[in-house]
Amino acid sequence: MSYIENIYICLSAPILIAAVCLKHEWKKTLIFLLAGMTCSLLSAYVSSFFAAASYVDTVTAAHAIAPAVEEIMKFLPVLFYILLFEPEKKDAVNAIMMIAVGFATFENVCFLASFDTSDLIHLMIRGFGTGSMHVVCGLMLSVGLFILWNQIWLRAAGVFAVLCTSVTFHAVFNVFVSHPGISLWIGCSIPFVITAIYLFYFRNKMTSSETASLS
Amino acid sequence: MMIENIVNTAQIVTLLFCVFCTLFHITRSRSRSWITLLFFYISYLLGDFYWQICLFYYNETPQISVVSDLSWYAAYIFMYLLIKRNMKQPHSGKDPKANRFRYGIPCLGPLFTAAMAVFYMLRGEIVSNIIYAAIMGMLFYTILVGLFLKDPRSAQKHRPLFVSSLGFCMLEYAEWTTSCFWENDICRNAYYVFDLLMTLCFLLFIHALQTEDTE
Repeated sequence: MSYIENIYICLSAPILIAAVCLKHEWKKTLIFLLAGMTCSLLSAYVSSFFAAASYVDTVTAAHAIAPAVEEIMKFLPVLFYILLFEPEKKDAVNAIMMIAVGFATFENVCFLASFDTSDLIHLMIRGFGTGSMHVVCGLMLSVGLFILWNQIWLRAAGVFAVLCTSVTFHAVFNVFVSHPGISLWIGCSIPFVITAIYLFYFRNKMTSSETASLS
Repeated sequence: MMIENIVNTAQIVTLLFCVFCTLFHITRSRSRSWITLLFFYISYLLGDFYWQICLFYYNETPQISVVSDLSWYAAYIFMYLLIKRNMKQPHSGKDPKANRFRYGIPCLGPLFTAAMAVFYMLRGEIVSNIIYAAIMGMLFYTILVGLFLKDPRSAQKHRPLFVSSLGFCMLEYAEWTTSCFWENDICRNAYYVFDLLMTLCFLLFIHALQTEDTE
């Protein structure tokens, strides 16, 4: 049995100390990273509660309950930050990404603590796959929030709709990776490919906009 | 089970085709209507895809359908946003008596969904049926306002979209109603027929937006 609270304390302690010592921008980044880890810890409790309340096994809970709980838990600090502090778009996107990264990191560490760590290839696939999946869900959320945030009547409906889409994407990923072999490879590669395409497109767009500004 | 796999796969393939068609139109026109339609297709596709992979891996439909339901909620919300974008101010006619009747027609939508929700709640879950009734009631109301209270000068332009949406919603309700009588072979076959008709309906949305673009 892995004591995730102990893992959380060991991971969060140096981050918290560093957040206290560092300057404003770095402090904010580390706080969001910590928020992501905290969401991951709390998601475990909430998912377990709903799984017990619904009388389902862990396999069903992993793809039917956990995705919804995890995406909503990740979304809550973002919503709090956006509503209370009204940040710039770039800051909000960074916040969403750091929360997703913190969440994925804590999840991977708990996975390492619970299972065998000898198979490097399997761990790399899982590590990169889970990381990129959380990043894709975060990207989906940030793109949706900023396309739909400008008009009041679109805001609530659009944010809910984008959150639902990220929940389903997460669930599909969980179904794929819960089965070993080719299914695991397919599941882990889908978000990785999406992230690579986004980076490639974003990088091309940045390059073309820089070229346009220079000329 | 085999026929359900075939029907689901046909719907997934059709939705994929619709996604690629919509992406093609977005690269040409960059219209927000096409982007909203794309989100509608992606949301519905993800819900169907999750349903199908559960059927494939576990040989049964999901025990807890929260994830698919959330995805389909998102799809209906995107459809609502798409129709709302194409709404104009209601036409104020010269005959107040006729307008009173016409203003009453859109209210039939929420009444219908509320009545159907009561019927479904007697046979199934309560919370999800209430949410479906609320979202579909909103959708029906908006579609009927667009069909009966829209400015007639632009009615011709947007009518294909409203008619396609209304047909889609009616087929969805026909499907849900026949699924309540699953033990009956006639109803089960009717369910698959309605599902296939709904699959064809997805293509009508593309035609409707293309018609709007050419006018």
